[in-house]
Amino acid sequence: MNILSFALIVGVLGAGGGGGRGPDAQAAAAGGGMGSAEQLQVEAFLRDAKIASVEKNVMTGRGAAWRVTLRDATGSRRGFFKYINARRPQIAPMSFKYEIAAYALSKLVGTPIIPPVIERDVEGKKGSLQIFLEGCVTDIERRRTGKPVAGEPQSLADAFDELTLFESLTACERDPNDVLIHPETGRVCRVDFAEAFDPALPLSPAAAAAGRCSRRLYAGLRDLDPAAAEAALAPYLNAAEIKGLLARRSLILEKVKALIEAKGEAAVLFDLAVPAAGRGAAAGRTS
Amino acid sequence: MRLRRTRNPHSSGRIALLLAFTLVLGLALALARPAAGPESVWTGVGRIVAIGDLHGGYSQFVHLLQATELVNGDNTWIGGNAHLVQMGDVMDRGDRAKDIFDLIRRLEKEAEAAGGRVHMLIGNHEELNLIHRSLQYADFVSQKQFFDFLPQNIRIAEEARNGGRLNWDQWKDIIDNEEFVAKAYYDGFRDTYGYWIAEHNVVIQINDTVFVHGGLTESYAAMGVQAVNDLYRSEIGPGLRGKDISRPRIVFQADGPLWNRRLADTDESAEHHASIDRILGSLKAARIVVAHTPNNFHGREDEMKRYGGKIWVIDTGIGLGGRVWAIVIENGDVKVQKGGGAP
Repeated sequence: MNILSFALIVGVLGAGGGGGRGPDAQAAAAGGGMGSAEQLQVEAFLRDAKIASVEKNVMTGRGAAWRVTLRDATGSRRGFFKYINARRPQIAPMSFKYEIAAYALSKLVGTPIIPPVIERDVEGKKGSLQIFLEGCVTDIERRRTGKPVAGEPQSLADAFDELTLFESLTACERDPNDVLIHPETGRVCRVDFAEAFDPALPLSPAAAAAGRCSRRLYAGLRDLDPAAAEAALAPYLNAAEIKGLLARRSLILEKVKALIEAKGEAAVLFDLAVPAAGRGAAAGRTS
Repeated sequence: MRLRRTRNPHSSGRIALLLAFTLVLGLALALARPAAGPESVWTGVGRIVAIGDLHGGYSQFVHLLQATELVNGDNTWIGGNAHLVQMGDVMDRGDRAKDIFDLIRRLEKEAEAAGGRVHMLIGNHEELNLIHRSLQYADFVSQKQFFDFLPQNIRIAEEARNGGRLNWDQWKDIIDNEEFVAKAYYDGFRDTYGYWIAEHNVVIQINDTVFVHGGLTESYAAMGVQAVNDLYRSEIGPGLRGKDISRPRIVFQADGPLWNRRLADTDESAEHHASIDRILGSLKAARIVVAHTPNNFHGREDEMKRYGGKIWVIDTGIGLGGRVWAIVIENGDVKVQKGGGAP
């Protein structure tokens, strides 16, 4: 098992918990909100690996993403490349920049639930290149097939509760096709934020009804420096989108604080379960 | 003796009140009604021909029209009171969308005069051109389609500015880097065909068959076909005229009628069958015909008919080297019509 394969499962497919902020959140904090060592390593691979092949007609969705195979001395990995860039105020906005913004935000708030994504040129087009998570099923597939997931039901419920608030933060409605679950580790990831960050959206109904929050997300939101967030996100979001995001952050914080006051911290904040790190790690490699 | 008519002030007051009431009621009813659009539902139709995605395949389209005896050798309507449904996606990937639009525009009038109808549904590729998105996708807009809709003066000016005739790769660079050129293409398309296309339906029902480019979810089906069309037009029309539709409910939505592929799945689960039955129940229809999704079609006739004939998937890759096939519905019987000598 090489370190990148390990990173794909342990560092990237979600962080472990434990008391206080999880290890990834701590790593993120140590790196000034710039991501864990594993995330940075995958980002470097996405940025520097040679493009071995590009498949253009495999994805039939509106984003028409390309599947890209990348190769370096450690082996091959697959990624998804999105290049549509129709930012607000265009009709029906969709942009690869929102993908990168969501990932940057997930690092800023210490919730590594988005697979690493970077900006890169592929065949002359600028876009976002995101690592493909091998061995995962979508939440739709999981429900359809009844495939068991490690740590069910509590770890899955915890991960979904965290996801609900993060999705609301980014103004990106849940699509179960975009929730990826690794059955052997129980890790939960979320992809496809290409239509996120609607500046006018308040808390989602799901977030408004939420009764819990992961400790790491609460800490990340509480400690988020608006100026730092603005600086990190300005290449990808316009001023109104950033303002909307910060407004939703305040609403989530107010909500979680009110819940803690009403029910007590132990009933509201939770740590995500430690994943079954070793199992399924090799799934990160494709060759 | 001349009778003097005396006006009853009370009577004239009542008339004025009645008139005012009628006026207010009429105004309220007019405001309450959705924007008047074309019809969405027809009954008592004897023969229906449905043709899937064309993607610029003009000659294949003509072959099918002739093979189904809707037009003669001069491409004049001879279909009488038959209805033709073109399922959308006339545009992109291939070359001759403009020729197809011109033919459809003429046939719409000829068919109506003969007691028949031509229905061109809006497909996701028409939408991509209407919402200024198609040029962003690699290889969606062909060179010929681009020049067919780009105003000639812009082409001449750009070529003059760049030292003469340009090849397609050079044009693609210009499109990527000079926003006004892409805008000129979209505006040219909008002004010549876009407004006309946007007046069309996204879903229609003829007899007991519903036709829609992509598919319908249960919630769209529950709205009914007219409401879906009204909602679509309420967004795309103002969008074309520059209004903000940054948060659309139906345009460019993954589960919307132009993009949804779920009905074309080959999912034999009881849950999916039940969902299809609920959709048909809401629509009071026996079957739904969709296009848009050629993925599970490998050239066999029986692959078009799914879920016991409740769903027909008729994107056979007509303009892209696939099968030049249509379906013909008569008396509730669906048959595949092959377009003969088309490539």
